[in-house]
Amino acid sequence: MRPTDEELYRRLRGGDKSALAELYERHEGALYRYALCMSGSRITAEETVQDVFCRLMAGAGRFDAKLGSLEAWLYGVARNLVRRCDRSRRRGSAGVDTVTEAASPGDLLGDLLDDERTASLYEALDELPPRYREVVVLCDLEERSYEAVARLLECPVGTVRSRLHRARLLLSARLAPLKSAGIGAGVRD
Amino acid sequence: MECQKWAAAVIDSARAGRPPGTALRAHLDRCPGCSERWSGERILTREMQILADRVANIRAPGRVREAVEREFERNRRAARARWTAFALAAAAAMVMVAALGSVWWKSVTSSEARHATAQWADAGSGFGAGFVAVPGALPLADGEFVRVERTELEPAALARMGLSLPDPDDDLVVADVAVGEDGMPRAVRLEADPEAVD
Repeated sequence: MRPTDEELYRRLRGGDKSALAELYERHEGALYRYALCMSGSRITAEETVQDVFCRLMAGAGRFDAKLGSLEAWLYGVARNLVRRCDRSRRRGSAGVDTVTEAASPGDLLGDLLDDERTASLYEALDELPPRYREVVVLCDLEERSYEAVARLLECPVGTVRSRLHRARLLLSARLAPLKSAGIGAGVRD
Repeated sequence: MECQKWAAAVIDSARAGRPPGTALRAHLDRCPGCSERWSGERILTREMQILADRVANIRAPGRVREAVEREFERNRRAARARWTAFALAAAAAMVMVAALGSVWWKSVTSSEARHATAQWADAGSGFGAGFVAVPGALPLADGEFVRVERTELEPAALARMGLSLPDPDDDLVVADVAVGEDGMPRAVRLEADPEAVD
């Protein structure tokens, strides 16, 4: 039977390295993509994932199963770290690499975003306010349900739904000029 | 107002890739704005799906995992060092407590013994005057009997009992020794006071 995150966490706190490997395997990818999409910086995303797991191991701001799931705790830490990086970047204290990356979010995913429309969507996503971008990343890119995202963000399902709807309106508005210019895929009803 | 009512259904149906339900279809047929929105949402969903597929396999580079594992090992070594230090400190504390306790116990018992024996000897409790308490001897228990034995002792033996000899040049000294039930000497009286013996 597959151990729960909380069981793995207990084993990790007891010094079990295989529990760390299992937790890392389960969450690293999604956390990295989340941090990457939220920050627009590979360096920030790498540092975020590393810091999240280091904090988990060190017991800093210790996870408490009574207060929520381990996954919600991981995302909570990641969100705070990304916000902190964002604030630093706005204050101009970020490193050269981060600034360079942030200046060209469309290049961030390299060859993966080879077509103009997808790259434009990614850029439009990057321009959304964080609270809207977050639900798009979790609901539409990570394909989680409203309920799962509400648990991760520790907010009501209605809030997730309304933020997502608002975010999609903003995205549509930003992509509309491209659509009228003839870039994009048509969809038949 | 009616369009607002359908906004959520338009987005949810488009995201789920479902065809619109009968009621929504009817509204879309008579509302150009919502119909356009429906098309826009379907396009956005399709593009979002493409983007999701492209980023789905993005993982952190291996160096992140290595850094996390290094941190784990560092934490484990630090924890082990903390436990070792704690265990050593605890062991040292226990040894110190034991040593101090032993010193304290010895001082308490010897001072009690000296005090009790001296009291017993000075009071001449049944043995008459002239007895000198053996320093460090245990006190008599309540109701404990003692016997007095006359014997010859070497001056060195008297010295070991903490007693000084008036004439250290004597080879052997005749003395009365008050012995407890445990066979341990409690007090000594030199023959110089023979009249004091019962």
